[in-house]
Amino acid sequence: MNRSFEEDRQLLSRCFSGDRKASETLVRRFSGLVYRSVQYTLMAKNVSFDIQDLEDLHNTVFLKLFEQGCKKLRQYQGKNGCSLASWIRMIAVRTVLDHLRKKGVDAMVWQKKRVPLEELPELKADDVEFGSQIEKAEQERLLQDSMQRLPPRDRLFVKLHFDQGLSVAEVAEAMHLSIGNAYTIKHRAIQRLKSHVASATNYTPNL
Amino acid sequence: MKIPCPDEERLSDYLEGRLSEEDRSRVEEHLSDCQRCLEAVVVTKRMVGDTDRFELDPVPAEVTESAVQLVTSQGTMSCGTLMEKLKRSVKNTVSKISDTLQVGPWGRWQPAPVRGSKKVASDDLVCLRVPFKGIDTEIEIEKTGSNKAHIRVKLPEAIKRTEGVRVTLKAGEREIASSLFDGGYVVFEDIPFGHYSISLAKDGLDFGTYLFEIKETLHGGR
Repeated sequence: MNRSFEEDRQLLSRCFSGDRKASETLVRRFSGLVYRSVQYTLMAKNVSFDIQDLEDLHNTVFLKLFEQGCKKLRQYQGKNGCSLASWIRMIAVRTVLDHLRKKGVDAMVWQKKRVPLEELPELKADDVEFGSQIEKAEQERLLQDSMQRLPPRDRLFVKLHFDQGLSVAEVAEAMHLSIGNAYTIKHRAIQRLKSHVASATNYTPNL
Repeated sequence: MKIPCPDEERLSDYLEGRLSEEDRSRVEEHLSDCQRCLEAVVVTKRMVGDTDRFELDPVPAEVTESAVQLVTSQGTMSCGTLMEKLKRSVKNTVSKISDTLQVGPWGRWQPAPVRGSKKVASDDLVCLRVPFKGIDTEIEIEKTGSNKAHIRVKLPEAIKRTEGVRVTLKAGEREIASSLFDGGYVVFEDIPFGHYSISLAKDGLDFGTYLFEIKETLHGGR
């Protein structure tokens, strides 16, 4: 996978000019990557699938790239150094997720997601017994409302960590934060969430 | 107002740390409110960083072949048309599948430009009309035993034009058998169930390839 950008660009140029051999080369070069990406995404979403589904989605990705005179393929620029492989992998992932969404496998939303057990105490105000004060649905609405009040960066952190289940280290890596900074954001976001929930329920927790 | 979704290159640049601070903030602002993009980023991030978490199967050769044929045959018809035809063809085929002997194209979307129609003559015999370029053929697949079948490629018409036409049976890249039409038909005997392709060619001129699968199904199964 150490092909140069120049090599990929030359291959793309030949594809754009209608060179079938080049199109074939491109498909063969990235077929494995697309197949694995499709598989991984389906597994990550806990969706049952068979070999036929893999083939269909694999082929859908390549059709998407080449249809309408390589319309999608022509969008690749690589101007910041993005490799063709990284770009195609992201397209494969998105294609599968969009397909699942159309099929009714909804995107996981905040209120339906699991919160890691070890994090639950942090989300609950120390002395507040949520269950006894407000209904569960109301808790969820409150949490969502509170989430929307967080600054975008904090909200993204909370979604990646609590909603999507990435570890703090993984979130730090994804958001290019130091571990220390990631924990600071986490702590701050939780405090803000607690504070908002408390004020909405007229309760003053010990912060 | 919601910011339009960043394209795939921008999301990759974000994940791989190639954006300026300003661009990074813009993407993060979008991700904090867009579940679609958030999930794409999370799945990709996990995949890149943790390839051992799932055991992933390598791509089967026939899947790559089907994509190659799908992509390289696009010149003859628009992609949407091609996809619709492929889906329709497969849907029709599946609806006529025998209960005991199942012969179907590779995948739900048959990738080759050659498509066949099928009738089920008996539980153990399936006949397919497969038009190659300029040559109409009939392919009979007859179950001859457990996990085995005869494949007959017949020429119901235009026999004269097929002089020197070679029929090749392949499993993936591997050639199983190849023969010239003799007496209007070619038989491949005791072929194990599986994925195959039949190609017709004459003097280096390719008449097309038909991809199909022979498999046993349980009574009452699909």
